[in-house]
Amino acid sequence: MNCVRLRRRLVGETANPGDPEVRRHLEGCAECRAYLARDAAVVRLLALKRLERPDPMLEARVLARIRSALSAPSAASAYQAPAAPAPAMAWRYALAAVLLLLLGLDQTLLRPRRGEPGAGAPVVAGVPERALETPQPTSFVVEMPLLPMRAGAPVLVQPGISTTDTVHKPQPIVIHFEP
Amino acid sequence: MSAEAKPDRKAEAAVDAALVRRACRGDSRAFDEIVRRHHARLYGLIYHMTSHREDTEDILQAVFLRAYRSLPRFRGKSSLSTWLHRIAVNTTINFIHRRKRAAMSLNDPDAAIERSEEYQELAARDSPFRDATISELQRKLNAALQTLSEKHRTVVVLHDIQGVPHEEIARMLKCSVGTVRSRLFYARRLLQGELAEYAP
Repeated sequence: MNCVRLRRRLVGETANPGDPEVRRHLEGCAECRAYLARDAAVVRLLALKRLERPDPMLEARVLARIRSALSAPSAASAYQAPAAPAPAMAWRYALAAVLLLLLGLDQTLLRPRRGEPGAGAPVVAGVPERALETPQPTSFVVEMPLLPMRAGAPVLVQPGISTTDTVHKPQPIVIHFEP
Repeated sequence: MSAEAKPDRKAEAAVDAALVRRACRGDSRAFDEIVRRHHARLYGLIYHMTSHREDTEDILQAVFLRAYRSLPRFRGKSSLSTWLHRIAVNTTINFIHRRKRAAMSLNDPDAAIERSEEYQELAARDSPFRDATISELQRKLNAALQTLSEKHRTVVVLHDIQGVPHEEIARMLKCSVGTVRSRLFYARRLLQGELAEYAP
């Protein structure tokens, strides 16, 4: 048995110091004897750390801190892993994503290419062309899928497009935000 | 492990399991009892890992809060103590990584130890300890422990300071017993160098 293997086995407690093979090696190897003596001294030094005791008020302090943290939901939630979305919400997100995709495809496929009739003028599905010919107020046009909206939100929805239309015949809803 | 120790551990585990069940049903006194039963050992583990008392209390609080929230997911495959130690090790290592202090401030040594019977006995028996003051020894020990990587320090703290067997450490750290032994061997070899004046 070589020195490193013997030291590993003795430190890892897989070898018995009383084992004849180990004893023979140690009798003939001063370096290993010195190594193991140093190791034993380190272990004795580390044992000193066991004498360090927490102060007697620790328990009361820890309990008070935990109770206080648990009673304050915002502070307590800092330790909580972010929760996965609830199944109902996940379905809504998935539906919104599919609608967005369909609307995107709809816009891409139906938009006239350069040189085709209608090219050059802005085309918005569901909006009569003449409405686009008249000068438009300075506004941002945002196309969105149908999502539940907060009552009283400052948006204007184009008339003539109902909720049913949007679901069955995917069409963008054009919303003008007055700046 | 002695034959007498086994039933004790079984009884402890049964008490812990009952407390977990009660705590899961919302009994806050049961969780308080879990804190009372385990805080001292967890404090020791965290304190020896950080050598800083205020950090230790912050981490200990985080460990118990994390445990409280995870209790419903505790299946009892390992003992509550093993499970709590695992949370404590992970939380402490995360804390140390986050803090990344250039010079980790270490607390002043605990002067009360010098008056303890155990230290007096040790100092009388071992000449290297006799020549050093306890505060000097503690300072050197804390500094030496901080030179180890977190993985090596964890194994030394659990095995050499807290007396946890290799197999239990392997369960706590979710690694093999061979890895635990190997880390212990390297850590002790490094500590021999750091503490050369006391381990000639």
